[in-house]
Amino acid sequence: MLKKLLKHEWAASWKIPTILIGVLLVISIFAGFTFAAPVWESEMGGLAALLVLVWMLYYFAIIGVSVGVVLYLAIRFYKSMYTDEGYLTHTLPVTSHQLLWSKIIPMAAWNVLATIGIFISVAIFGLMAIGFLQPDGMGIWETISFMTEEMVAELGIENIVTFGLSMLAIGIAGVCSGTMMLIGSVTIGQLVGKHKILGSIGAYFGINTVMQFVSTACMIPFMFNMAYEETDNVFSVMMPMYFVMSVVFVILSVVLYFISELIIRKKLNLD
Amino acid sequence: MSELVNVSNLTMVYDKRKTALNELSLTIPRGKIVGLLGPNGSGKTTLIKILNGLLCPTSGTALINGSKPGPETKARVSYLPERTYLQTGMKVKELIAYFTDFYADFKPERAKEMLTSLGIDENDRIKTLSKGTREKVQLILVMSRDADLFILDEPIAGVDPAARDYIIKTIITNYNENATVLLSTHLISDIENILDEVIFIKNGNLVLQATVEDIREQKGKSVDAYFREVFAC
Repeated sequence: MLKKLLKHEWAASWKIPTILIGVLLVISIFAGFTFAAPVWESEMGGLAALLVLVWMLYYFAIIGVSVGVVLYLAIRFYKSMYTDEGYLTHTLPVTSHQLLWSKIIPMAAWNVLATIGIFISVAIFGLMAIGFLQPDGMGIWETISFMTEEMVAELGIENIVTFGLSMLAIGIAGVCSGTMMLIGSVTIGQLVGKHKILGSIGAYFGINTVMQFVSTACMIPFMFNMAYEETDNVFSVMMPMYFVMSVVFVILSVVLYFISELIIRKKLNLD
Repeated sequence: MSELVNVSNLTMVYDKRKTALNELSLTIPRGKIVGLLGPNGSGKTTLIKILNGLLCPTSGTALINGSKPGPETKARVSYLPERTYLQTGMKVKELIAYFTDFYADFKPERAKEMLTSLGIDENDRIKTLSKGTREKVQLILVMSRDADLFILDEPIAGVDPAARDYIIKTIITNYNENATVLLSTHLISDIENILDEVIFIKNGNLVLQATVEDIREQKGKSVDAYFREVFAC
C-alpha cells in the first residue's frame, strides 16, 4: 500500500516544486548573462541599475524557491490530512505509519531536490560569471582547477573529505528534521480545538525553539574546548560538532515522528 | 455473528465540555438499509466519523465485523461524507484509478457505467464540475464498491429533487444484498420507502431502534410523522 500511496502523493505534489525550481534555473541563466554586458567598462548608470535589479530578482528567486517549496509542502500536507481531503485520506485502508511515510518521503525528496536545484542554479550563475569575466585571464575549467588546488594545498585533502562528510551528515539530518518539523507542527496543531492553524504555527515555533536550544547546547562544549585548547584548526572542532548535531537532529526527528503517529492514531479529530 | 456494527457505551466529549455521544450502545444488522435519524446536533455525524476512524472516541467501543476502525474495517466500509473530499485538481478518471488502487472491492466498470448514464466526462477535472455534479461523482465512487457497509452521511441534502431520485435509485440498485447501508438524513420522507430499520438519536442518546414495519404497525404512522412527534420542539 505504501508504494501506491507514494505513487499518488508524488503525482499530486510534483508540479508546483518543479515549476518553482525550473523558474529559478531560467532566472539564474538570465542573471548569468548579465556578466556578458559591458557594465564594468561603461558609464551607463541605467544599465548598471538594470543589472542590479536582475541580480536582486535572482536573489529573491533563490529565497522564493527555498521558502516556497517548504510552504507548499506544509500546506499540501495540511490539506491532504486535516481538511476535507482528509476524509478520503483517513478512510483509505492503510496504517498511520504508511500514511506518514507516504508524506515524509516525497517531502524529504522535494527538500533535497530544491537544495540541489538551488546549488545548480548558483553553479550556473557562478560559472557564467567566471566564463564571461575571465578573472586572471583564465577560462571556467582552469579557474575551477586552480581554486581546487589552492583549497587542497591550504586545508589538506583529509580535512576536505571529513568536512564534506560532516556537511553531508548534517545535510541529511537537516532534511529529516526539516520535514518532521513541518509534519510534527501541523499534526500537533490539530490538538488545539478550533484554532488548528494557529496551533500549528505555534507548534512550529515551539519545536524550532527546542531545536535551537538543543543544538546550541551541543555546540557549547565544543566551543569551550576550542577556546581552552586555543587550537588553530577550526575543522577539528567543527566536524565532530556537526556530527553530534546531526545525531541530535535525527533523534528529534524520530521523536516527532512517533508523536505525529500517535496523534493520528489516537487523537485524530477531523472537523 | 449476525451484527455488522456493535457500538458499546460510546461517549464522545468535545473540548471537555460538549457531549456529542453519551454512553451510546446499539447494534446494526447485516443486509439492511438503516436510517440514522435525529435532529441537527444529535450526534449522527459524530457516530459516523467514529465508525470511519476519523474521530477517536472519549470512551467506549465501536466495532465493525468485530474490529475497531482501522485498515481492516476501512477496506470493507464505503463512506460518503457530508462534504466533498475530492482533490479538485484531479480528473474523474484519475479518481477512478485512485479508488481502484486502494479498494480491492472497487468496480471501475460500474463507476464508468454510472458516469456515462449521467453524462459526466471522465476527462473532466473536478474543479470544472458544479457542486451537484461533484457530489454525484463522489456518490458514484462510493457506491461502486462491493463493501460490507455503506455509510452515507446526508447523501440527499442540498441536491435537487431529480438528483435526489437518482441518488436513491443508485443506492438501491448498487448495494449488495448482504451489505448494510447506514444512511443519515433529516429528509425522512424522501427515503422512508427504502428503509428497513431506523435509529433515532437525540443529544447523543439512543431514543429508538425499530423496523419501519413495526413503527407503521404499532404507531400507525409513517416514520416521518413519528419522527416529528418524537422530536417536536
